[in-house]
Amino acid sequence: MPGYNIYHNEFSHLLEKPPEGIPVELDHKLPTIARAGISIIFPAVKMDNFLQLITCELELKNDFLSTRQPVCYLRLRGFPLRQFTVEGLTELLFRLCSRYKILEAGQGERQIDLTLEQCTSNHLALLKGLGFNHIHILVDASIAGPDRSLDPVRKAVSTIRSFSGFAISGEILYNIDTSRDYLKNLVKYLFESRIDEIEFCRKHNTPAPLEELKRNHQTFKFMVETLNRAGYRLIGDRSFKHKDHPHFALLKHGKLGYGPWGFYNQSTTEWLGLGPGADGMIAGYLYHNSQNLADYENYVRQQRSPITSWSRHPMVEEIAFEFIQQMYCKHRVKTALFNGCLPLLKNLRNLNWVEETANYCKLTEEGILNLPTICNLYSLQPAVEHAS
Amino acid sequence: MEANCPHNGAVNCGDCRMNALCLPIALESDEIDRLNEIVERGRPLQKGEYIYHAGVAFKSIYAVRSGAIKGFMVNNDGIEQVTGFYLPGEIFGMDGIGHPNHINSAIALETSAICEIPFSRLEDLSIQIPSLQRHFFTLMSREITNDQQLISMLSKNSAEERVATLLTSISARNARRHLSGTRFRLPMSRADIGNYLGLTVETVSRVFSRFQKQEVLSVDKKEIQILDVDQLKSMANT
Repeated sequence: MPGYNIYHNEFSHLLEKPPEGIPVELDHKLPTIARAGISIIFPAVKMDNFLQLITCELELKNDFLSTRQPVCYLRLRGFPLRQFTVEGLTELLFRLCSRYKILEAGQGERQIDLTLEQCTSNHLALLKGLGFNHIHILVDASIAGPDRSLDPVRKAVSTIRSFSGFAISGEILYNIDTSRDYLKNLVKYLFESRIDEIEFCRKHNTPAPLEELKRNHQTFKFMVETLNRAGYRLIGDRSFKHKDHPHFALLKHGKLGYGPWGFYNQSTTEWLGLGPGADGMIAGYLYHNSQNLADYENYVRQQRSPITSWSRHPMVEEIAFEFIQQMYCKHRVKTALFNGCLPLLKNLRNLNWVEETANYCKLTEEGILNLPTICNLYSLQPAVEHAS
Repeated sequence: MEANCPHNGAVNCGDCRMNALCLPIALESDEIDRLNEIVERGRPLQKGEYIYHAGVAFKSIYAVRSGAIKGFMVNNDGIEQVTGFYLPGEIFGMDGIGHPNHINSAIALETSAICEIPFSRLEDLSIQIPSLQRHFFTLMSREITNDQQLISMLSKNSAEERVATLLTSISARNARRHLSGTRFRLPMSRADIGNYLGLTVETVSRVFSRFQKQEVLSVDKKEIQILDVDQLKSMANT
């Protein structure tokens, strides 16, 4: 199965090596009723009794969220139905909903990732009954030749549509072997099916040879053009949203945020991240769970927190965090954010990744393609670290 | 009253006629006894009595031993929407599972006997009998899936298809209880059927009359006899 890219590693440089335990400030965290989100990462590789691990981790992070906080987002990312049977999913929802105030459809979002084969009538009926209102389908187009049939996608979308009330988004995994004709047909179909959000991800998140990167960039550019023509706009480096998508309204009002858990309404200030490689943000501190499956499992089974790093400062004060927010949501930052690291700005200009307007540095098309790299480079600047 | 009669409040899980439906796992007799200790069985409910109201905390699931239960919600305008009918051997109350509180209310459609299974006690017991809790989550998943499948099917079909689907569903559920799948009494009113199916009472009555004319059904008030099962199934598109 694909090396599914759910780990937004541009945030990893914001973290430092683990302090013992949790930040002192968090120890004195006052009860809050700030809006919260829960993001659970389900790895592609099957783990033994994953439900038990998540349940234990919930206990270990018992104090992170208050039971009175409205939970606006519940996102089950990756491969939930590979780790759980359907009854496992029912049990998970029962445990989450008995503990937290998870808002219902209409007030909150409950999203789950499914592969095309998992979009069966039985699964969707259960998900509907469990209050899910957003299905994120994963389409592996990495082995797609030009004549590959769209029937599995059609079937999945039509089955989802047979239940009312599900929003659908799609994630297309591509690599150098992906046929452009197939992508074109796929995008055309998704557009015609009124799917208003399409993520476009390179299949493997590992360093690739330069030639492969070049070809992937060409494919990506081709998709930008195709999707722009179809009425989609690119937010961040991989997420195409139709112009009617509610995130544009958030963006207009300056409320759109971006985190390792995806785009969200900034009024949701706390995130409980569970599972291997999950990130969370509590009381303004960003944390990261161990991404190594064996380590994660050992930590949890030994009743130890799987968190491997915390940010030193609340992220709301972190310049690099602000930089990522602006770059991902608006594709531009105030030039003043480069004060103290002007050589980096110069390099980015030389690479034609940014261009300067009055008070802003704006990403070029080439810059958008290299957005995670730009954010990582920025986060690693000693001056930025010092300023924050 | 027979010891294993489902109306009997003193019935034991091990003796209950419905146990093959709500407890289809192999348990030792002492395990059944321990389960039996946590199941709460009150006096039989009279028609119109509530089992739970919308908004109350979700703490238990319920099994119907006898009679019939209606699940419903009331919208902001005070209009009732029927969400399901539950017959003996069926589990209900799962509307609370994805929420902190029940989102529906449940009411007895006729004199009914109910078993209440409190989750907190079930959890304690599951430490001793690990398969038990998993079993109940399996059961709940199945019931939630069936409910939603039925709702989805009903929402997109014609009036005839909707009525035929409901009757086919009730017939199959009766057959599961080893009761007649072709001759049964509908515990719910025409108004409830119409509400559940999104049809007016008049339309429901017209469809029943049409089915009678076509000799698919014989209807005497609430008594139903399915005369042509295959035809009814083909009308239901199932």
